[in-house]
Formats: sequence, C-alpha cells, structure tokens
Amino acid sequence: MTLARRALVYFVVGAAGLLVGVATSQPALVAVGAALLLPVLVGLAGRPPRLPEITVALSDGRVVEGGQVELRLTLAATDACPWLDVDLGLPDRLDIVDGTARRVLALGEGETRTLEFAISCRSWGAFHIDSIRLVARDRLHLRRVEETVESSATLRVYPSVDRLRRLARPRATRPVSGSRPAAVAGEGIEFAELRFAAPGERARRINWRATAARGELLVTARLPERSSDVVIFLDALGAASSREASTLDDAVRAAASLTAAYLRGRDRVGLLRFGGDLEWILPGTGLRQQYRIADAVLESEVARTYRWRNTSLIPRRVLPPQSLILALTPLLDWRVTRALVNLRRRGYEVSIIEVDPLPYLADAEATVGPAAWRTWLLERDAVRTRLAAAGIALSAWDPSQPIAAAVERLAASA
Amino acid sequence: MSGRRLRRATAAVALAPALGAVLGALAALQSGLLPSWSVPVLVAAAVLVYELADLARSAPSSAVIERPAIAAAATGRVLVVALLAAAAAALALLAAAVPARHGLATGLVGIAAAALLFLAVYVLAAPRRPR
Repeated sequence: MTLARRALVYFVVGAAGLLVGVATSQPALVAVGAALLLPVLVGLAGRPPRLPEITVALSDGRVVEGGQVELRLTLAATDACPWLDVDLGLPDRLDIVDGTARRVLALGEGETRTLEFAISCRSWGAFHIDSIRLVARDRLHLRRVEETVESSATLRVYPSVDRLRRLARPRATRPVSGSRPAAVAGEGIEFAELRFAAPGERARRINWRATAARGELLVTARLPERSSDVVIFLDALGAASSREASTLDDAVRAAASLTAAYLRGRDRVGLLRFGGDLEWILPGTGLRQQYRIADAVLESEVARTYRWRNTSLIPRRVLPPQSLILALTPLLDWRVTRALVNLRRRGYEVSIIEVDPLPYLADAEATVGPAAWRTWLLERDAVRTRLAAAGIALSAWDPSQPIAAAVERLAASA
Repeated sequence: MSGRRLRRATAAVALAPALGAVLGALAALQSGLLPSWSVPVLVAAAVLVYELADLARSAPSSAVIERPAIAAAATGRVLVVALLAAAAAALALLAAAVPARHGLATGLVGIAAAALLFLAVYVLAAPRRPR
C-alpha cells in the first residue's frame, strides 16, 4: 500500500502552518494548518483500500485468426471500493474492439461485477493474458493499493487456412489407401491406360467398348489411390520483419494451409521446425494431427542463435523414406540452405516455397547502399542456382498474394 | 465518461474556486485586513482547487470512467476534503477566539471542539457495518 503524494503535501504544509501559527500566535495560520491536517487524519483513520478478488475467463480458448473472443473479468469486492482502476494489458497482436482496455469503476461492499472485453485476434499466436493491473483507492484517495494479476488464461489463435486445390505431388506413395493415384497400376478407380489383355486377366477389367472398336481384347488398367508422406519444414532461424508482420508469420500461415490440404487428401503430414531448437512432429493423419501441427507452429518465433544445426540430429522416424519435404523459408540463413541440400542428398524429395523477404526490406537498399544490396540479391540468386543444381524445386511466393499460386507453380514444376 | 473528458471537465470546474480564492486573497491584501470568517472559506477554496487540479492530472486519460466512480471521487475526495478543511479551520479559529482564561465556558468550548473533531473522524472514517 502506498500513500498518495497529496497526503504528504497536506501533512508537511499543515504541520508547518500549525507550528508557525503557534510560534507566532497567528490564529489564521493555525487554522490553515488544522485545515490541512484534518483530512489526512480522517483519511488515515479510515479503512485501507482492499482489492477485489478477480477471476479471468475467456469465452473461447481457441480461435482462428481474424476472429473475436470475449474476455470476462469478474470482480468480487469484500469491501467498498470507491475507485478501482482496471487496466487490461494485452499482447501486441490482440486488440480491444469497441472500447478501451482500461476502466475505472466503483464497487460497493459485497458487490460483484463482470467486465466484458471483446478481443479481436489480429494475428496467430499463443497468448497469455498475464497483465491485468488493478489499482484501488480509499474514499479520500489518500492511499492506494496496486496489484498485477497473473492469469493462467491462454488464448490460442490459429492461422487462417487458404483452400489449396492443386498440391505438389510426392513421387512415391505408401501402400496405404488415400486419394493420390499411385505411380504403379493396380486395383483402383483412377484410369491409367488401355492395354491388351494378358492370360489370367479378370473379366471385369475388359473394356468392351474399346474391344469392339479395335477388334482385340483390351482391358482398362487403373491406378490405386494411395497416400504419401509429407513433412513441412518450417524455417525459424531467420526472418525479415516489419512492425506488423514477418516472413515467419507468412510461413506459419502457409504451413497451416498446406497441412490442412495434404491431410484432406489423406496424406500423412509431419512437421520439422528448424529454429533455435530442432522440433518435430511425427507424420500422422486426421484432424487431430492438423491441430497438433497448428499448436506446434503457434509457438514459433525467430531464434537468434549461432549454433550449427545438423540434419543428422533429426530422427529417422520424422522423415520417412521417399517422403516429400516441403520447406517454407525466406532463404536468409545459410544453415537452412545447407540442411535442405543435405536432405536432398540423402534421397528425400525436397521442394521449397521461398517466402519472399523483399516486401519487408523496403528501406534496406537505402540503408546498406546500392552496391551491397545488389551483391546480396546476386548471392540469393546463387543460392537458388545451387538449390536447383541439387535437384530441389523452388517456387517464390510474394506473401501479399495467396499461397495457392506458389503451390500450383511448384506442382507444375515437379 | 472518458478519462480525457473528465480531465477537461475537472480542470474547468477548478477555475471557479481558483478565481474566487485569488480574488479573495487580493481583496484581503488590498484592504490589509483578513476577516477571520474568510479564512475557512479561503482554505476550503484552496483545497478544492488543489484537489480538482490533482484529479485532473491523475485521472487516466485513456480509461473509461464510470459515473459512480466519478460521483464517489467528487463527493469523497473533493467535497469531503474541502468541508473537512473548512470545518477544521473554523474550529481552530473558534478555539482561538475563546478568552484565554480558565473557566467553565472555556472548558465547555474545548470539550465541544474535541467532541466535534472525534465525531467527524468517527463518521467519516469508521468502518461500516455490513448490510
């Protein structure tokens, strides 16, 4: 509990007036001293302010980017609180809708009030509502008590998902049914070719229309629908950023869209986050896997580290043989480039969606000078050439455009 | 009401007692006489101005301040403090006006002043019983 500055001013001026008045036998000065001391006396003799008990609840702990949630603060006062300042501190990426995050109210004895704040979730992330500052004052505002409440409420804002129609197809499929036509003919519904019938052919495979037209026995070969393994490689080592967003934000959104699209096609999808620490999620299928990956990418942040990350540290289970590794990277860190080349040399099919950092580096040319800027651009071109030489498909993506275009370019180039 | 608006309103309200206090002080200086009855009024006006100015300064400008909180601050913080100051000044002047000799009247006035002071503190500061 702290004393207001006014109390000190009243006490010092009042005591001085009283002493000088008594010393000089001036009743007016004594009156001034008494007038300033009495409020202090009354204020200090009264009940000290007491903070109400606070409960924090979110209407929904999970929301998609751009959505809204309601935060309810329930304040239960045991004592009367004539001035209660409630200041809700929100992380940068969350905004209060239609109102302010700070309210001053009065609570009666035993009164319970619920304050509702509509929060708009501008960008993805896992946020802790951990800064609710309460300041209570007594009736004469001479004393104040302050507390910052730590809440355990966590709000998970998932990245928005773009609908992707055409995806980069892994070359190999695994012997589990899915919705991707396999490279080898077999039992399935997808048409592969017409061929001459061989001895022992099943009668249901005979294409009677083609047989009648050709005069020879022809059968329809079909492709079985199989699924594949896809590993999303998220580069969290380097990012170009502005105040509002970064390439990592865009990469996370793209990762969410790609995960949803591949899982919809019944592929197994895993995650490998290449940042300060290597983190991974084993490939899996279904909606649960989608949320598992979404929860993992929410924790992504740019890691400022100089440690060398070796791909040999990645467990074999994380990268199944013949899986497609789809990397989302701004190609700003040589360690990522080297890791991807290493993975390609180990026999994996690697494709890169290059999250273009140039929109975030608008002032860079002026800062570093045109010569350095052009050298840097040439170095980036050299990196791309090196990746292409290693057999890695690359598609550049301008984050202001939908990810679908970049993915389709990648699919076309594969 | 927004905090910014409260700040402006408080500052505007503070102008009236400030003007009154300044004019009163000027008149007292001009005439060379300070009537004893004007001391509590001047002190109350000065306290009122100080309280209003401090409220205008300390009210959070970015906050939404509810009406009951404003009412509680206006009565508890501004009016009660000003009235207490005026009462204390009047009491002190009354006590000074009592003839400085021992006697029944002096004793009675002293007891009454002490009782009034005690009563004021009790009424304003004593904990309220739960309803």
